[in-house]
Amino acid sequence: MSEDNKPKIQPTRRRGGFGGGRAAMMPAEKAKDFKGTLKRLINYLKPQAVKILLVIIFTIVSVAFTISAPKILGQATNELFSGVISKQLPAGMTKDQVIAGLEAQGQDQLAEMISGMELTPGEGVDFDAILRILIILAGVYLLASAFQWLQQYIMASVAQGTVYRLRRDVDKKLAKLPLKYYDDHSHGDILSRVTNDVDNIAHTLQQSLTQLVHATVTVIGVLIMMFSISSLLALISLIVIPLSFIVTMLIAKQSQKQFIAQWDSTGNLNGHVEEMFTGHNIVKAFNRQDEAMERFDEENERLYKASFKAQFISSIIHPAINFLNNLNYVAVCVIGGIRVANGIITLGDVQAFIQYSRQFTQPIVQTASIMNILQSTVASAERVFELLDEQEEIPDTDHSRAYRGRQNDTGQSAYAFL
Amino acid sequence: MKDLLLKFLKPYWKQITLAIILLVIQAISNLYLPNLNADIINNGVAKGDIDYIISTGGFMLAVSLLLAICAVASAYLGSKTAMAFGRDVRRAIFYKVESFSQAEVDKFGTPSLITRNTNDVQQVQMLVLLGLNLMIMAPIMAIGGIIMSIQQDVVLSYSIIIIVPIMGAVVGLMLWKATPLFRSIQIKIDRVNQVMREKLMGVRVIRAFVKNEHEAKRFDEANRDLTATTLRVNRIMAFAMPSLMAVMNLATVAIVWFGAGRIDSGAMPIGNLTAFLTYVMQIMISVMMAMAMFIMVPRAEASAERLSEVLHTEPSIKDAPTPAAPSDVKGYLEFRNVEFSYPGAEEPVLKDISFEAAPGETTAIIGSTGCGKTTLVNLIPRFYDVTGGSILIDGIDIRDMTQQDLRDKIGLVPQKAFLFSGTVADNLRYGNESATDDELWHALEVAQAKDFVMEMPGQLEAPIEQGGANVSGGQRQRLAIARALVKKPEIYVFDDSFSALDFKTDAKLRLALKKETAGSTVVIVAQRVSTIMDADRIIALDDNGVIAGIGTHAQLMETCDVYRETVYSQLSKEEIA
Ligand SMILES: Nc1ncnc2c1ncn2[C@@H]1O[C@H](COP(=O)(O)OP(=O)(O)OP(=O)(O)O)[C@@H](O)[C@H]1O
Ligand SMILES: [Mg+2]
Repeated sequence: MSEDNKPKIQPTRRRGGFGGGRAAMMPAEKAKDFKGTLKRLINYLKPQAVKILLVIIFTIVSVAFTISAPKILGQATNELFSGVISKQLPAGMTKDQVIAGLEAQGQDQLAEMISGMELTPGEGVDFDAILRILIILAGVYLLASAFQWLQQYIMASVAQGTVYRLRRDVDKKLAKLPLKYYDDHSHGDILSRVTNDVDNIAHTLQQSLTQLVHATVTVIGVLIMMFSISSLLALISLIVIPLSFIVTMLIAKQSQKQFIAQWDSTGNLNGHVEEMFTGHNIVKAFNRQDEAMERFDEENERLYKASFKAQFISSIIHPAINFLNNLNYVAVCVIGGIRVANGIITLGDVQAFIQYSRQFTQPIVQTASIMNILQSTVASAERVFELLDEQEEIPDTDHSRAYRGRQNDTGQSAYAFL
Repeated sequence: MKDLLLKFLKPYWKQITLAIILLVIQAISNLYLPNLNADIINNGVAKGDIDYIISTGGFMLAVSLLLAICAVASAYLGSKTAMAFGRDVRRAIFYKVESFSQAEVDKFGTPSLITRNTNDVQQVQMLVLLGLNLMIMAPIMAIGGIIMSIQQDVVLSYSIIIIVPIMGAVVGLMLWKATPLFRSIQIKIDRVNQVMREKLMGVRVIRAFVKNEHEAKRFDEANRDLTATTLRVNRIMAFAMPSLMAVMNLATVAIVWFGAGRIDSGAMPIGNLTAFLTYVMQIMISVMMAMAMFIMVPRAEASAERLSEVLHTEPSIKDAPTPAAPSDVKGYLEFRNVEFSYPGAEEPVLKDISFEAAPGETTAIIGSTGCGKTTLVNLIPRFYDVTGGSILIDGIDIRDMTQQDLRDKIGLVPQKAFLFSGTVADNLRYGNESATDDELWHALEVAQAKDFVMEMPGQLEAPIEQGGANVSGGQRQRLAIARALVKKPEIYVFDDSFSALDFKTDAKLRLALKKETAGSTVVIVAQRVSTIMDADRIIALDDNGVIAGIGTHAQLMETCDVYRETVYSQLSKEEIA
């Protein structure tokens, strides 16, 4: 194969070195035509439209169950709370009599609180009612999990079916490209499109896409629940949420820069190592070990600084969001406390509300990071589509036609095993 | 792994101690927060005491601010230490490999050394990074969580004894099922890669023999196989998260049910229930984190093993403790009964090699492929040490010189011309940094490389890619020759350095070289007889690495069968005469 000795332009160090890392480490490479490529990728998913629809429906169902759970748990707490309170009240009296009695004693707040509850004084905790609620709750939890499982199960076949098709199409295409294409592109570059880029797409389809749907549905659902419990408390939380989003975006932007720097210096360092080790004999023969080490130290120091910064900055997000969450918690407790005392809402509702507001921040942080992953995925997709769009050689033999026909057959049956 | 961690983390013990203290503070405040939450609900919200909510809430905010500050500070220390650890290990590995002789490089293999210096370091560094966060945090949180939940209610705490093993079982089952599959995915990805690579390499053959269909089938098989396995893993993983959630959530339901009984009997205040739930959640998350760490440890351990292996390997070639004084003469090379066998090989590659060469003389080495020519010349710059006999330069055993002094005397053009990334000038100055541009051009002219360098964009400043990938094989050889010329050494070693050149260029180059190297000793390995016919001394090696004959062309034609055969196979009658 004399052609293979011919020098080829090396692929750029885009994917230098480390095999691991994956999405989190991968800096967002901007696609040239983000929208167009995204559209095309979505088009590519069309044959799986029914499954994707199912995935979306199941996600919504699963999230709906997940979201209703705190509300139901809150009912159980309410039941429990009023049971405990009622026990302390004299039996035989009606609720109104108790309230009147308390007001007479000047315990206005307690009276107001009890007026907001459904209880029979002296009765104690109604375990039958609690059991009923808890059985429903267990069912809801189980259903949420079941639907989440179904959704991921289906998505697995959507993702794998799509990348199977992508790889097959790329392979088919390669068989039809003129030899010139192989001279102009390094093997490394072509290989990287078949494997790295396609893998990247598979990973996003399997994880990020379902996460994105999940996060969006959760945000909407949680918002609805929060407003249904108390629009005042919901509004307070709505101040914190944009704040979390802004904080996340700001930090993510900074760490993104550092991750790119880290990526670059990793590539440089690995390139240097590769070169020095491959040319070990020459380095030695020319007494250049010292220079090799000096250069290594420079690259190594740069990598150290970049990766330290990237790591540090990205790890600020979590504590910052946590703090904002706690701020929100206190605010909700203060306002909620006043309202409970005034008998406007129940303790169970406040607790449910707190649980909801906790569920809010995670999908937001998630969405921010998925945006980055999506960018690099679309860039990957663009590279794959670029290859699929290459000018083909005019087929001149029957073989190629026969081959293509056969290929289509296997293509159809490909779904049989998914 | 322990040794490696201890050795390289030791310089950072202060930072690590501080980070641990910060993590402990974090863990404690993390555990304390649910307590405060419960307090606010119990004594504030439930009793309608707004003042209490505000004052406790303020305190809670202070605690969470402290928590945030500690978290940021420990993240700072943790990432700084982990990355510094990675940097130090990386440097240690690189320095070590630079001290290796070719024998040690052979032992590990170049690709393996590259992976060790990059991926393996990365793996261990990752573990250190996580270790400085989660590994310390998880046990504290788990134990603290248990203590705190016992404080909330002793009887209810028994539930932990049931929940944690169930969770452990679920996670363990997943790992047990998925881990081998993950490994097999990697193998199948490699397979797809391999088929694709073979297709790319052989694209012309495939087209020429119309093997497209066969090749498409082969790729499709690999593709299917990978898809099916990945699908299996993803389906298992699809089960993992929901089932864990189910376990956690059902645990919550059970705790509320039993908690209700405790509250009703007055054994526990209602606010404690929520706090208890939070603690149980924390314990469960810690257990999950710990289990996730368990997957990482064996991988990092394997990497650490591979790193230690490099660090514990001593170079087999070292400078003599007391180097001999430099001699007055220059350019004398002598082999005395040299024998050499590669480490681990049964038979020596070279046996009883003896010859002498003086300045101005050209010594040629010829022999069939694989007979040991490259091996012979590699002994001169001490890439390997002889296993018998000795090599002397200027009358001194090369093992008594420093490697630096020895290699300063030698200008090597290896069989596989290798250039470094940088510019043409960078490459040419590799052996002599102070060479002027004129000297570079002169060397290029001698090496018959001037013309094409003139045509390169930027000429001397033209970029060369890694490995010299952007120049042709013949151009690479000539640049490597020029690089050796710029060094102006006492002894030139050309290992089959003219093979990629056409006859005309070869002849012109040899003529120019002759003038240039007049004062030096020249050792030339060649395949073509025509290249070395006029050498002062020709050494014909037979297939066993023994000298079959030594002498001038005319002498060997008379006395040496091996040489004669080679000559007859290559040259026409007229050329021989
Ligand atoms: N690093 C090594 N470790 C073990 N054996 C080796 C090593 N390098 C070469 N050999 C063996 O030593 C023998 C001589 O190899 P050498 O490279 O010296 O041959 P050569 O004469 O230069 O061949 P060619 O003409 O193809 O360059 C061969 O049998 C080879 O397999
Ligand atoms: Mg050789």
